[in-house]
This record gives sequence, C-alpha cells and structure tokens, in this order.
Amino acid sequence: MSGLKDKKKQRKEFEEIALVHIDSLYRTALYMTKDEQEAEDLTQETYLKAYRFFANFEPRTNCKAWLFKILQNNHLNRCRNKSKVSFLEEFNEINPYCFQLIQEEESNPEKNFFKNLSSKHIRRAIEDLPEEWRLTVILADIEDYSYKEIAEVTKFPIGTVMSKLHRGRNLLRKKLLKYVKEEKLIKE
Amino acid sequence: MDHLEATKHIYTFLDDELSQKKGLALKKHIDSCSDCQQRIATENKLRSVLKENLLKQKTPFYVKEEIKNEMEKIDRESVIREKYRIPSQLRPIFVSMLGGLIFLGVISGIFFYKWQEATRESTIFPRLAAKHIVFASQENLVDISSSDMEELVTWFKGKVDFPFSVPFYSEELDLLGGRLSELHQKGAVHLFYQWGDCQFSFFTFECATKNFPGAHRKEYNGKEYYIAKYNDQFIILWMSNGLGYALVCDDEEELFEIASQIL
Ligand SMILES: [Zn+2]
Repeated sequence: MSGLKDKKKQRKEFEEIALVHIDSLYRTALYMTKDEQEAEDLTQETYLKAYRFFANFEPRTNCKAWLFKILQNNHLNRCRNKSKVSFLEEFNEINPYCFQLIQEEESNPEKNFFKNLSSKHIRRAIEDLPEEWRLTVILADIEDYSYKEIAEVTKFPIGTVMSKLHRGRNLLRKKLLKYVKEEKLIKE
Repeated sequence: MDHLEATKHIYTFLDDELSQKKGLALKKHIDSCSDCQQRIATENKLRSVLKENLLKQKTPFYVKEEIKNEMEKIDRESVIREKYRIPSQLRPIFVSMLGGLIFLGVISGIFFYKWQEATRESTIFPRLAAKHIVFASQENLVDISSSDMEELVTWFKGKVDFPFSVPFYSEELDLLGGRLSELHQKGAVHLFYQWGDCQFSFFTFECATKNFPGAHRKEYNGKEYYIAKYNDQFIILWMSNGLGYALVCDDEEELFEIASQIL
C-alpha cells in the first residue's frame, strides 16, 4: 500500500468493517467513563489506534470484539493515570436472587415496577456498577456477547466472567429497585 | 432439578450458555413450575427494557467525522513517510554510514576536548594579566593589608588547598598585601608588591600542566620559565612541586630585573 488511492480504498474498507460499530463503542465508552467528552475522546482514540494497526487485523475474525479490546485497553490506560478503580466489599454480598424482588414489586399492581422504571434510573444504575462488572453486563446485555467473547475482550477466564456477570446483573437489579422505590417515595 | 437449583441457573439459561444436559433438566423443571416461569418472564422483560433504553444512546455525529478526518491525516502522513523511506537494500549501508558518522563525532569530540583543555591552560596568561591590571588600578582591592609575610602566610592557611609559602625573599621589595584569588576554579594566592615606582603581582596557584602554548620557554639556572605578554602586561611563569608561580608587571625591564633579583 503506498499511493493515496490505495489509502482511500483502505479507509473505505475500514469504514465498512470497523466504523459501523461506532455506536456500540461510544455507548460502552460512555457507560464506562460516565462522561460524554471522555467517551468521545476514548472512541476516537480507539478507532485511530485500530486504523493504525488495521493491517494486523485478521479479516475473518470478529472486528467488534477486536475494537472492544482496544477500547478496554485504552480505558484501562487512562484509568491508571487517574484514580484506581474502587471495588467495594459490600458488593460481594448481595442477595443472588433479586429478580424475585422485582417480580414481587411487579406483581403488586399498586407498585408496578416497570411502569415507574425510567431511562434515568437505568443509566444511573449501570453507571453505579463497579467497573469490571459494568463492562461484562454491557457486553452481555446490550451487545449480546457470549461468555467466550466477553472473556476475550476483558481477558478474564470464562468462570470469572460468569461470576462478574451474575453479580453485576444482581446489583443492577437491586439498584433499579432502590431508585424506583426512592422516586416513588418522593412523589408520595 | 429442584426449584432452588433452577433459580441459580436462570441467567445462564437465558444467556443460552447452559450445557445441553443442564439445559434440558432446567427446561423440564420450568415446564412444571409456575414460579420459575414468572421469574423468566420478568427477567426477559427487564432485559428487553434495559436493552431498549441503553441502545438509545447514539454517537454524536461529529465524532465519526472527526475520526474520518484523522484517518485521512494518518494516511497523508504515511504516504509522505513511505515516499522518503530508505529502500531496504540500502538500509545496511545507511546504518553503517550513520555508525561511521557517530564514531567520527565521538572521535572529534575527544580531540576537541583535548584541544580545549590544552588551550585552556594557555588562558592562564590573559587571566594573570587581567588580575594584575585590576590590582594596579584599584587601591583597596586587598583582602589583607600587611607587610608581614608570616601574617600573610597564616591568613592564607586553609583558604587555599595547598600549603602556601613564598619561594623568595628580598628586602628591596615592599609587600603591600594579599588577596584570595581564583584560577582554574581553585583558590589562588595573589600578593602585591612595590618595587621603586613599579607595582607588580605575584601569584601562587595549583597547576597540573606544563603545556603553555603562546609562551616563550626559557631556561635560567637550570630551571624552566615561561614568558608571555598579554594586554601590555609581562608575565613570567614557572612551576615547582605541582604549584605554579607567576610574576606580572607592565614594565618588561623592571620585571626582568625583579626576576633576576629573586630567582
Ligand atoms: Zn421453579
């Protein structure tokens, strides 16, 4: 590859294979950084790095997973320069079956969990998750990633992915319940 | 599979990641358990609500544009870089040339340093001359005003790094005083004398080299002397036991007369 024409062709290819996933990457970046400006920077950084190493990308493998890997790396590098990700002990001891609570909440017609659940609650609950759980939940529940794919992106063994995902989901549901209840209390 | 175990596997079941055997066992239980059916319905609903909500978030339009612009910039730069890249066959030649250049640089650096060091020694003459001129034009330059040699020797003790003594004595010379001076970043002794109506300086300093370019070498009574002229000042310099001594005066005849008296 040398001439500008070849480069243009390469850009087109990159746009078709990689740039189409920009919303997934931006979303993930946003929920990870909790800051729109940082999410934009992180997305751009990820894509430019990917473009520079586009030659290393094997055409038949999963491009989105490759991009997520770069994103995760960049994000960790940025975090290392800031404060260390906090991992609170209390999160380790959560009732593992909290969808039962949601179910109870939902089955009570006066309460009606889903009706009271808003985007604001969801965004807040996602962003409140400990970072490592957050990423597994996002990849599984938004991007429909398999455990194997999540393991590949996060570099955790599959068993770890499963336990992080399980705990992350439980905590997310617990938080959603809490926020919905809190808001209802304020309204009443 | 009982109800308690079934609840543990619901997430994994809905993720479609349960092994076939466990999946079948769970399915069997679910078919007969309304509680589990309810749970799965709730979980599925929650998942779709979550997904729908979180997927709403889209990238701001300008981010994509910026990325495309930056990609173009990367390409333009790399095309330029490739254009001026050295072909791989020529690279070993280039590397060895570069190595040669670095080697030459180091060698010439060493030579330059040596040369500098050599010429630095010769700069002692202008400095001696300058110090004498300052002394001759400023009366209160002395650090210690005394005509007692012993008092002066005691005063300099500890102020210079060498044991200081005056290698000559003459009753005809009037000692005016002394000043702690500096030569080659080291403490040096600067004494002031009067000889008739001529003032002269006598220096004692640490000196490691005998290389004095720009000076005339003379032998007298079996000893070496270096004579130089700078800024209309005449300088006689000699070495003894690792120390340098110098007489400085603006009158050549007087200087040689003094020298012949004391040396
Ligand atoms: Zn059951």
